[in-house]
Amino acid sequence: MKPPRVLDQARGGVLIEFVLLLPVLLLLALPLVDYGRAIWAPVALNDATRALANWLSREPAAGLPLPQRLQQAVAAMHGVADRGDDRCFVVTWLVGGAGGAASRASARWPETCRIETAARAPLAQRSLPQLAPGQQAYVVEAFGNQPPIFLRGVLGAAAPPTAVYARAVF
Amino acid sequence: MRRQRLDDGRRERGAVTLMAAFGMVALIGCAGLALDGGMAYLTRARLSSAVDGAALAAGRVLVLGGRFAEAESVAQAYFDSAYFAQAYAAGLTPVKLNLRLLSQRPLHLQVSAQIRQPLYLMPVLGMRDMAIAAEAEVANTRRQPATAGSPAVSRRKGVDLMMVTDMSSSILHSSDWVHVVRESKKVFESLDARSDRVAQIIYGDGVKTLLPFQPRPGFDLAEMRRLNGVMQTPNVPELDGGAGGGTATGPALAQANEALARLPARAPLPVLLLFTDGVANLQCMDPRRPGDALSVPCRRIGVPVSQSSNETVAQMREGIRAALDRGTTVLIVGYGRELRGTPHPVPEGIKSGEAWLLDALAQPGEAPRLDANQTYSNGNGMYCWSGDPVGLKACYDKVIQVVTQAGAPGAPGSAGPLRLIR
Repeated sequence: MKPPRVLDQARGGVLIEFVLLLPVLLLLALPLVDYGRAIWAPVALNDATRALANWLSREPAAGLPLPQRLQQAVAAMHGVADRGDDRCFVVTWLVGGAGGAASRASARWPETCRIETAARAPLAQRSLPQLAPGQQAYVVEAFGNQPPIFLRGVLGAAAPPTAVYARAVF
Repeated sequence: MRRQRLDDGRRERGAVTLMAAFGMVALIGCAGLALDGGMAYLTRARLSSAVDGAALAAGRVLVLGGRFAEAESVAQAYFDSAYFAQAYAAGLTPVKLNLRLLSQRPLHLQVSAQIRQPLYLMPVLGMRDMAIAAEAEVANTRRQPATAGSPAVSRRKGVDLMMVTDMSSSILHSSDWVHVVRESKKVFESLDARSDRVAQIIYGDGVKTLLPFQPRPGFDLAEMRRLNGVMQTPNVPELDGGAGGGTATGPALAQANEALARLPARAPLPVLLLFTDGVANLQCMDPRRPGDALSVPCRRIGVPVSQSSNETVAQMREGIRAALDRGTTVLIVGYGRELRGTPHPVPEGIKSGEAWLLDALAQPGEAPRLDANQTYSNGNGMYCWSGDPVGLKACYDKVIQVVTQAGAPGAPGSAGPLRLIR
């Protein structure tokens, strides 16, 4: 009758050790969820900016003002740009002029962008290509916020969202 | 007994810690796979998008006749702007793009970039960094319609030629009208009446089809000659509804596109030849439903031309774009002072008719310019401006070169719009 007792004691020890180790393991494993999401978000944004830039540089709706063209581009992307709500696209259309000066027009979608990052860094500071006279470029930028699910669970609303940025130059 | 029990417990306790320690290596390895792998995936997506943009930019430079070195530096500029602007890339070393020109005419260009991405957790498993590469290809080869069992091509391709001729009063009352008629006669005379198709549309205040396409290959040469003679004397009842008055270019193009679209068994080279001497100033259809040409009475907008509304020119431009989208080669002969003006490149809200026409023909991202012979051409087609009968003849000679495919490779008709193919 004695041996089972011995086993019981040992199993209890293992359990305690496991319980002690569990937080360490969880701490290692769970942030991966947030990390995965933080990787996925810029990839999705990157794909969207690339699709928009490609569409715009082909100009199937040329002749329209840029904001309308951007709207059409977003519509033509079948919701690529629509996925997720906390994001914002800024298109800058550059046309090279004489003496290196480029004229530019810009538009954003949605027009009521809630993300402040979009406005925080002035465009000139985010390097733009130097254009020869007559050359054109569409710079499509996307700004997004990715809230961390796991950290929110631990810290509550205090956990800051990750700022996500993507750009394509076509 | 007692000692052994203790030993047992200790051994098992040690086993868990040991397992955890070994497990930790595996766990960090797994986490590394997720973290570093995810990072690498993101880097590849960014690299690939930047290379795409760079390849298109370089392709544009080359299509416009720029030098290879120029294309390289432009590609690098676009790439850097896209790639290094990404916040995370701040610490990375510069990436040199690799351009490979596979063919000049038609253009086929390959652009690639490689980087080595440092890994953060994978060194646990012995991997320090990882090679990531991206590649893009652009080309302006025209997509060939698949022809079953095509015979050996000894003669030129068949042509469907849609002639759209401006007969607004401004040109009719000019002494040069007779030259226009004579030159356009040479165009259909250069074609084969048994295998090519020709149609004639005229427009002024309204649009009139003088000769529709035949369903089968070939056209009525005698009838075209007769109509050409009639067109020399504009006040004939036969031309009523198509000659005189304003310039309904947009509706005329819409009708031409419709006729080309309805053609059974399209020829390999569909061509729309537009002669015009002014800016479109008539609107005859609902712009939201371009198919309904002429269902609404024409409305005159903006006379004189300097006030010509953007709506009518936009319609003209859309007509040209629609033709290009269907793979039609668009040849435009512009005549007279009215089309001159506005320098290029043109910003948004352009007004000059010539600027609109050029812009419609341009490749994506390009600011089209006329060369010394007042001509602009690319894979989409050609625009040729002339101000006198001599220039007119030169323009029509170029048109004939295109429709008879006598031009050099790279001439309009052999190339399509620049696009990413991979």
